[in-house]
Amino acid sequence: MITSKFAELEGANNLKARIKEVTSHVPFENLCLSPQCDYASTEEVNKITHDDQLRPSQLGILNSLQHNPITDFSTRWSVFRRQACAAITKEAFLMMTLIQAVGKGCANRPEDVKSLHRRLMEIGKIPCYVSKGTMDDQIMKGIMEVQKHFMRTPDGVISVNRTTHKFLNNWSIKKVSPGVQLPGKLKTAWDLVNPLLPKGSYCTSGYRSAEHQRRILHRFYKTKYKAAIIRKYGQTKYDAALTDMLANEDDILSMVRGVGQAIAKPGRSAHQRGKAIDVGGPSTIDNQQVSIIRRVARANPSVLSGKVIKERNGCVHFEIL
Amino acid sequence: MRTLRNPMNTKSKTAWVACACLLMLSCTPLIGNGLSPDPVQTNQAGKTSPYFPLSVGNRWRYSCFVEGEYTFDKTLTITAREKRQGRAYYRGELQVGDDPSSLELYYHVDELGGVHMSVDPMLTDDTLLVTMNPLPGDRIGNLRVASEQDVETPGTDGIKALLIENFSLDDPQLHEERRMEWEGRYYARGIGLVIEADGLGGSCSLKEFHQGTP
Repeated sequence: MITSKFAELEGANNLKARIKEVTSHVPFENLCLSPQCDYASTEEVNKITHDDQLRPSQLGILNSLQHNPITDFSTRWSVFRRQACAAITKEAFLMMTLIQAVGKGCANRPEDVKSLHRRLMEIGKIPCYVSKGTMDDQIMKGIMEVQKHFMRTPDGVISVNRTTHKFLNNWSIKKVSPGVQLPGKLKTAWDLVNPLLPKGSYCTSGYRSAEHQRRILHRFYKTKYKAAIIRKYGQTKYDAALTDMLANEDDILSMVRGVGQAIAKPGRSAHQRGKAIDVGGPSTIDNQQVSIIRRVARANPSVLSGKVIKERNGCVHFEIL
Repeated sequence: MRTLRNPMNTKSKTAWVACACLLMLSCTPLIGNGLSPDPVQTNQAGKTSPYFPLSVGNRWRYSCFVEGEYTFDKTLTITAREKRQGRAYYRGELQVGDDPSSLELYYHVDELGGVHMSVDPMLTDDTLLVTMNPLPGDRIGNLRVASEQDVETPGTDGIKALLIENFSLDDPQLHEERRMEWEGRYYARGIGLVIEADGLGGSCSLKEFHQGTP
């Protein structure tokens, strides 16, 4: 995707177009955006100067791609960005340590500001640039962007070991399981929740088509509960519904429920309406996940509905508006 | 009727001991109930899995939900203990929601104490529900014993229950469509099935457990 064999830069639009092209063949989550290794020459020797090798403009491309929905979706992208950003700014990314509060109206010690600046760059909330340790508009904007995830009215202040500081230190992009679809507002909701979730969390489910549900309902009817349904409702009624399962879907649903299986009508569940996301992970972090998602919901009432439940299948389920 | 709450707490230790005694009595040769001992129930060890106590009058009431939305209540009651073709079994009735008709279910205990269920009174298509001493990794039909976990239900908060599932969900690489096919059941000692759940977000949790008279 990004070559080091030629001096010419690829350009953000070209890269975006290529990524889109590739995603029609390979799932996006399986892709990795990576520059080619080294500036190794071909036999003819590449005409690349020292300045070309530093490729400062590449920064602009990285920063423009940062807000592209198909690139910031990926964990791999954030890793790549972190590496590229560190290489360009010569900054090592370490744990964000603060001696005093930083932000609006705070002491803003240069070392604290630098530490915050590094962290905000690393998580992609501000562009990559070298900081002199003074609070600037970019950093201020970055703080507000971070706080928007969990505060309805961001205050622009990071106090030592308080919520914003803790969230920033634990900020990490969680994985999305294969097959999960997060279109539109689901993606917005996941992006708000994702970096704050405890380690070990991942997205297990998003939009599901009615067909998924229908296939399982039909399997329940034809195999798992077949004997029980025939026993309760009789062979004639069972066979009659089987002749056209789509047309007789209400009957089938009623009979499957009638033998004790709780299941939603195909197309009616929150997932099938594109309104729900499930988060997985060890059961030990369930309560933490619920608490964080509720917090994000309170801060973003136009995106998340506030309904957050621990499901019996080990997932934490939350819904969007 | 007795609803089990915190059965492992000190507070209800007495009730728990009493429950265990009742369970032991229910598994001993049936001297006091007028039925003659039979070769199945008085198998070599004379035991039934503690994860599915079978006594006439036992009643489990569950609340069922889909994605957190209440769907219906269902109640399983053991109504009789009968013998057919030399085989003893317990007859159960499953009543779902407001439906006045119920589904008859038949339970029997194998020689090793495992509990089986069938919808056929001739027990031709029985399914092994739980074994005498299920251990993590054991296969039970097409399910696998996972681990003992702390669970809460409206009827039993803070108890240990054994999860039996068709496959583990603990894998971020599991495809979403495969995840939807998951099914799991949680069994608690001395109580039986406390939760059943599926990968679509459907679940039934124990609301009340009434222990019948052995």
